[in-house]
Parts: sequence; structure tokens; C-alpha cells
Amino acid sequence: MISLRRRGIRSRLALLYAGIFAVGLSIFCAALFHHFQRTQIQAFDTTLYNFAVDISTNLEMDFVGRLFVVNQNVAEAGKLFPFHLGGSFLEIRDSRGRVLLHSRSLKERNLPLDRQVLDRVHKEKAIFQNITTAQLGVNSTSNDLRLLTYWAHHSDWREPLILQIAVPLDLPNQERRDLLLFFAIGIPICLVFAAMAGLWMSKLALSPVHAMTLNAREISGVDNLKTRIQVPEAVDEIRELAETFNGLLERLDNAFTSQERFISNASHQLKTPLTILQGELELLRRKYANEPELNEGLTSVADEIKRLIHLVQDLLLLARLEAGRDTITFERVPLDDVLMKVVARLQKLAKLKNVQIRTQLKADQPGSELDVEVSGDEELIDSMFENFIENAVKYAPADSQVDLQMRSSPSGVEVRVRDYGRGISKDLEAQVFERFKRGVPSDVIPGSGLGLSIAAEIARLHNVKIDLKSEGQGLGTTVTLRFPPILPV
Amino acid sequence: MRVLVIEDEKKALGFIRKGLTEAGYVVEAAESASAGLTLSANSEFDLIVLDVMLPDGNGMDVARQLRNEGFKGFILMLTALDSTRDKVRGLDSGADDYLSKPFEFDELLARIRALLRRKEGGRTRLGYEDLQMDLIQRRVNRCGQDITLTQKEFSLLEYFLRNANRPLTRTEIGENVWDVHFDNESNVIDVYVRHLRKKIDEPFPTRLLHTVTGYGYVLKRAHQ
Repeated sequence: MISLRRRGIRSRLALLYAGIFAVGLSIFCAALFHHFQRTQIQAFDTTLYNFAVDISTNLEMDFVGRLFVVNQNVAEAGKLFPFHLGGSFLEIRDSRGRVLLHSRSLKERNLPLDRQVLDRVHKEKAIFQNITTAQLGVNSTSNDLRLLTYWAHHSDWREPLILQIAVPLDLPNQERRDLLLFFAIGIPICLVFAAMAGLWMSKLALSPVHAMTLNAREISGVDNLKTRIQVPEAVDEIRELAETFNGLLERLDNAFTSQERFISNASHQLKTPLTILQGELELLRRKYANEPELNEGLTSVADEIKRLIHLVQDLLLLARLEAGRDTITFERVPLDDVLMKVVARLQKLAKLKNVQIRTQLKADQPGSELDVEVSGDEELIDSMFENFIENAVKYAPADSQVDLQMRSSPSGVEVRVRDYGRGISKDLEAQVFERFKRGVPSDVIPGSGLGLSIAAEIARLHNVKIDLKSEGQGLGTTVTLRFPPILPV
Repeated sequence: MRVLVIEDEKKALGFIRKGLTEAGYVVEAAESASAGLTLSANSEFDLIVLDVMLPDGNGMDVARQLRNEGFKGFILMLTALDSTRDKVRGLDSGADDYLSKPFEFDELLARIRALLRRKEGGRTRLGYEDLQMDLIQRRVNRCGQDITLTQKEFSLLEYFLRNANRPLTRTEIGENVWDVHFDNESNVIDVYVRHLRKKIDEPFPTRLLHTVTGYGYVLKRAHQ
């Protein structure tokens, strides 16, 4: 049953169809066979009865009761024997059942005549029975024989006679075997046809569904969400499916649109005041550059604003990421360019602690160091790099290094970020990608705790594998990002 | 230098105007798309700083309209949206550069300087010996043979061409081409120079890019 369930709706429908057809056909054939058998035996009995009558008309009896067959060759009288005479047996008895004479083929044997039949025969005139040659102890062309016990009486006879004829059933048996053979060959052929027809019909019935699937497959990505599936004219299940699907698309589209609108509104509403604050502060700081006390206060405020800006950007990015893979436009991105841009941005931060950012481009095959294109969203990859490298710089002790390595290989690009900081304890390793999770209080090392969870989400969307390995307490951390190879278009 | 700032947020407009004025630019301001378009139609500007979200229209439409009306100066777009798609849309509509809010004022000034430098730089073609570079179409050929370069390779070669015959230190190259101060253990510049050589030197009889041991690289004629 499980294997049938796995087999797919088309073959299941075809099997079901063939199954129903097989049951129907079998019942029909059985009924046909039964009916055939009945009419066949009736026709056979009628013929046998006529034969008996014919024979009886050719019998004559003299007044002492001796019998004469008037015409030895009944066939000559215009009658054709319907049976194979060689295998037929004839016996004539008197009305009390005593054998008067019988055919030579019977030798010393007699055709059976029991008490019950003898009692009934003078009323019923003809009684049909099935006997076997084994019962009789003689040979014939068929093992099954049809025995007719006939009550013959003529007005000029002294007494009635009992005429017994047994003929082999080889012809009807043959006919039945032929019919069964016909069924045995015909039914499987019919079933094969039925299964094929079922397969074809299920394909035909499912073709609108298949067409709809193809249609739906084209609708991917945000830009396509406005397209709808064609609704067929006929009011049926397919139309229902199409309408349901379109309703779903509508809701999805609305969700995306409102998500996008939210991000855009929130961006504007949150970022505009921050822009003004930051701008005004910067102007003030320039103006009062030579008043140390005021400047110190302004710098502190500016730092807090920067933190707020970072948090807002992280939250908005997270909102964008939540919208999922479909909202991202995948393009070819040269990874080394992105990495260098991030390094350029983070240099200032690194310089403050005198941390050297060392960058190595490597390749498994010499000369392919710059084959570092991946498929993705540059903005997001940039943000992912920034998060990891910024983290490394933040956790690196003063006057140390952060090593960046980009290695191109046929199995994809690998980016490694290594710092020589405090490292990550084993129990924290599993949690670093959780939101707002931090290894160190934010007054020691600033940050919102969103960075790595965003980076992890971006990595997931780009099928990038993150491998985070602490080199041991106080020996630093290595983060390895493995990009999947770009698929040839 | 005349700069027009189109920004509906009064306070943002205020500090941008103040900051730009302090930096020595002549600043006009408009608080709506229509006011901005009227101002730009009536007087000449070298640069327009344009906010994307305006009360009476979209900054991208304004940029498009400005270009249609034959505005030849630079357009720098400011926006709170920072996805790549938004940036591409902004640049496609006719903007020359794109800065997302919130920004540091120094960055705004640096971008404006860079844009105006583009105008002063003036040269659209660079060449050395049989090597030619078209800065507009971003094409390079040597001995009449086209050479395909990536964006970064192009920038690196451009820097070499602008400073032909002068030995350049790694620090100079890093800061000018990548904006990064590479330390001695980084091999980014060497990898790029190696790739550039493979493309512009190896297929040709004479070499142009030479290593200056312990110093850096130089673009010059082979026997000098």
C-alpha cells in the first residue's frame, strides 16, 4: 500500500481504473460462462432426447416382446447422428429395468439405472444424468458422459421400454475449454488496454494541473508576484484550484508589498532624524573643535548616534531578510571587490586599536585567484562580510592582526576570517548566531548583538556554509565561509 | 561651484546647506521637486544634491526630467533606501552617484569632490606606447587588439597609466585603487598585477609592467 502511495497519482489512477475494470470484466465473464454452460447443456440434452426418440421410432417389438431395429442405419433415414457413435453406449431395458439388449461397446457392462430413476422415469419420461467412464468401467473419447434414461412407448408395443443412451461430453467440454482459453487470453489483453487507457485518461485529466504548475513555476521572485494563473472557463475543480492559487498569490503579493512599504517607510522615518542629528552634530563639532569639553560631549553623543544608526540599519536589514529569499535579486558578485570595500570601511576602526588587517588571495589552481564570482546580492554579502570582519577587529586585542584569506577552488570560494582574540567558549559557540546574544557586555565591546544573526541569515539565503572554530581560549577564532560554486548558465 | 540641494526635510536641508556653504560651495535650496526643477531651469548648477523622497514626486522622476531638460551637471542622490535594487534604479534614472542616509558629512563632501574632479580630469582617453584606454567606453586595447579587463583590473591599469614611468609603492597603489592600506603580508596587489600582466603583457613582445624590488611596480618601456 505504501509503495502504491508513493507511485504518484497518475499510475495510481490507472491502476485503480484497471482494477475496477478487471473486477467488472471478471463478473461479466463469469456470468457469461455460466449462461453459456446452461444453454449448451440444454441444447445438448435436446439433441440427445431427439436422438433417443429417433432410435425408439426405429424399434419394433413382436407380440412376445422381441425387439427389432427396423432400420439398422438410422443415418440413412435422413437423420444425422449428432454424436460420435464409437464412444456412445446404448441399452434397452424393459419397463421393470431388466436389460434386453445393449450396444457392443458396453461389452459386459450395463449402464447404471438405480431404483430412484426407475421409479421416476415412467412419469418424467426422460431423465438426464452425468456419469463418468470410470464409473462404467469402459473407455470412451471423453471421461464425462451424459446419460439419458428415456421411457419409450408405442401404441403397438406390448409394454413400454426403457431406452438408455450415454454419449461422451467431449464436444461441449471442448467448447467450454475454448471459451475459457479465450477468456484467459482476452481478459489480460483487455486489462493492459484498460491500464493504458487509464494512464492516458489520468494524464488527460491532470494535464490542466500540470499546465498550472508550469504557470505557477514562472511566478517566482517579487517582481513576478503580480502575475496570475489563467482561470479556465469551465466551472470545475481545476478552476477552483486556479482561483484558490490566485487568492494565495494575491495575499502573498499584498504581504510582500506591505513588507516593502513598511521597510521603506521605516527607513525614511527612522533614518531622516538620524541623518539630521548626525549632520548637525558634525557641523557643531567642527565649529567648536578647539573647545575640548564641549567637543568631548559632542563626540560621545555622535558615537551613540552612530550606534543607533547601526542598530536601525541592522533591524531594517533583518526585516528585509525576513521577507525571504524571493525578495533578493541574485547577480554575479566579484567577492574580492566586496571584501576590499569592507576592509576599506573597517580600516579606521582597526587603526584605532592598531590592528593590522592582512588580506591574502589564494587559489587551488595557480592563476585562478580572481575567479571569485558568486551569485548573490552584493549589499547582503557586503553586510555579511562586514559583520564577521568587524567582529574579528572588535575582538582582536590591540596591536594584533586579523587575517583574511579568500581561496578560489573548483568547489567554490572560501573566505576565512581569523583573529587572535579571546576566542569563543564552547558553550557560546552554538549561540553566537542568536539575536541579541553577546559574548561580552556592550560597554566593553560595542554592538547590538544582531550582527551575527543577520550574517547567519544572509549566509543561509546564499547557501553559504559557516564554520566557526575557536582555536582555544585566548588563541582567537576562525570563521570560514564557504560559497557554493556558481552554476554555469 | 554652484550646488542645488533639493530636500523636503527642513532640518536636513539646513545642515547640508550650512555644511556645503562652509566647505566653500554656493548653495541654493529647494524644498520640493517642482521648486527644484524651476530653480534648475532658471540658473546653472554644477551639482544637484537630490533627495529621493519628495512630497510632490519621486527623486528618480526628477532626475529623469532634469536629464530630459538637458541638465549637464552632476546629480548626487540621497536616500533612506539602501538595497542594491534601489541604487541601480537611482543610477539608471540619471544620477551620477548615490549616498544612503544616514551619512557622514565628510563622505558627502568627498563624493562631491570626486564628482567635480571627474569634470576637471577632463581626459577621456589614456595611452602609453601601444596601449590605449578609453575611459568612457571602458575599453582597453594594445596593438589594436581588444583586451577584456574586470572593473578592478581596469582601475589598476588606469592608475598605472596616469602615473606612467613613475615607480609606485604598494601603499600608493592600495590607497588609490582599493582605498585600503595594505600591509606587507597582503598579496592582493601582487595577485592583481600578475593577472594584469597576463592580459596586457604576456601576449605581446614587449613588457610594460615591471617590478621595482622592495618598492612596488612601474609602468614603463622595457629597456630604460
